[in-house]
Amino acid sequence: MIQMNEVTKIYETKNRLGLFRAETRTVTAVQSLTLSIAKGEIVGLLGLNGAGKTTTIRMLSTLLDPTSGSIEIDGMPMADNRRSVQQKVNMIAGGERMLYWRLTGRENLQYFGRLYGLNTAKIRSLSDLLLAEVGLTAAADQPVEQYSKGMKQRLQIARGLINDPEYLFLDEPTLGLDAPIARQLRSTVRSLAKEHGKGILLTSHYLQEVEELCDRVYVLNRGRLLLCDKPDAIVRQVAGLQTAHLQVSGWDEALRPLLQEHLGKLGHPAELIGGVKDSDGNSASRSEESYRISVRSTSADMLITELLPWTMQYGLRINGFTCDKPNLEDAIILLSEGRVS
Amino acid sequence: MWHTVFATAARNQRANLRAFPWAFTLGHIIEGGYLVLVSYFSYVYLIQGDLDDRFALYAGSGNYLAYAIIGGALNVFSVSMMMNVSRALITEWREGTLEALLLSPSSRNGYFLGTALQQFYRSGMVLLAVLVFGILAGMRLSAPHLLSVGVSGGLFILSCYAMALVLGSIMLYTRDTYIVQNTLFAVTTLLCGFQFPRQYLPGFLQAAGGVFPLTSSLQLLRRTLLTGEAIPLRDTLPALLLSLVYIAVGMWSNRLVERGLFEKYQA
Repeated sequence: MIQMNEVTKIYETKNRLGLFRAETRTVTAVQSLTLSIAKGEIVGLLGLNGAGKTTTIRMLSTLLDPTSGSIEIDGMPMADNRRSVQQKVNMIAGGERMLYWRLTGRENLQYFGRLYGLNTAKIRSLSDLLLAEVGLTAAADQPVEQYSKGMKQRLQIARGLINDPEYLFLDEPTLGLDAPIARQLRSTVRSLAKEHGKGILLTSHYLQEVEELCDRVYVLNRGRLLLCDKPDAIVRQVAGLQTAHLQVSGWDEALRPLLQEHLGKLGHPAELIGGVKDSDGNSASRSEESYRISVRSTSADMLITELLPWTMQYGLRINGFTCDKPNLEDAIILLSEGRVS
Repeated sequence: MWHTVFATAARNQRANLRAFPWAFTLGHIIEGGYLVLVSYFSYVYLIQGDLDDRFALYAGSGNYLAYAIIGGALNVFSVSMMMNVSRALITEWREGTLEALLLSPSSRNGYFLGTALQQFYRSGMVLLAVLVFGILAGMRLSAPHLLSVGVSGGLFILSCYAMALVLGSIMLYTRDTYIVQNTLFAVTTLLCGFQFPRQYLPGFLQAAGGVFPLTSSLQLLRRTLLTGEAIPLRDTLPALLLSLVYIAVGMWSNRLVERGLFEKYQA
């Protein structure tokens, strides 16, 4: 388990004002952040640019020292065990960095394997395996400068796994990738956590990706932790409940209290928020007039099976059913605009 | 550490050969030949073999051609060794590979030694070319005292390495290679006595040259090559101690600067 306790990171930079004058500027990138990552878990780290995501990843991967607070990896304080921690972690960043372009894919993995102290036989078998896993066996002996962006990104993943890390930090891993490659990468990430038991920290601007992959999400704003929960819980908490819209014929306002009563008996919170005439006014009879009933609930999908028997009981005909489901992106936008306290 | 040394040397060699397949070798041979020609023409046509009486006294030998060719070759060797070792980390930074390198638990000393090892191979080719051209131009050396040549040669390499570590920190701190390296190389070429005995310089410049381990190791190596005499052990101490001080300062400052680099960049 990685445990980050009350970590603060303050940068001090000097702005030159002249030949002999400079002013010191301090920037608090991360403030009193407490975070944990268990093995087998995918944890998302979200926030706007400058929220402190990359600083957090760099502290976790030993590249930066916290100004205050502590980081422990499997009970080892990072500050006193940098080398041991480096054996347990690795980082994969989006883009085309962190690879030697004049070396081939295989030579890159061999070099990094050596830096982690692996022996020749182990490096050979591991690099063959990783190249196969990321689909680069055919291009293994081609210089990286001839690789496409997607191939470089896949090689980065192989590089990040060369030391068989127990914890992996992914900083925008699908940045600029084509949709099929991004999907394949997401599947690899899921398998690394769920099948190989690696603890993964993921930052991404693609919030759908975070929603799809992450077990828990930390939301940062200006270095402070705003929220930490499961993605759907964050959506519910920030962007509100889902809304189901049921289009029915034969609606009567007298049914409203009965529907409210029925909704109150459901196993999850559901609230009738509207019932309005939805037809264009040319209907032949009242029974053909279409009404739109809106119900707010924690799970709009479940409502159809729960409302169907009720509508049939009162002779209503269902003409349509739609759901409005806020997602993580809606929640993050609301948070960033300060519309949620 | 040795894993890192050999892996880094092999990586650099592969990358160089892939980048400059034939120019890599030819460039060094031309450089060596040019160096000998300049020394030869200066001696034969410019000063027409007319040497100051003090030269033999200061240099320990009246063989100016050998003195200048050895000095020139060692200058080229030291410049390329210092330049490539010192630039190693800032090049990683510029190419976006420094993070991946620093993420690993590899030895930094091993990394620099690996870079130096590969550079030694490259610069060794220049030295070989100079030697061949030098002999063709009439350079003659006394029978060498092999142990002294080996010890002083090793000290010379060590002093280049030591100065490169300090220079590398300065480059990484200032994020500049051009001004920093060329300023230093202009200063070492003048003060260390590559082309002429340092005793010709004013006293304060001679003292300034003594700050560099390169100065004393160069004097030792050239003296033993020109005279064939054995070098007393105590004469090696200034270069050795000064090199060790530079290595300690270089390793300490590199660690400090490379961590600070992410702080600066991130902020």
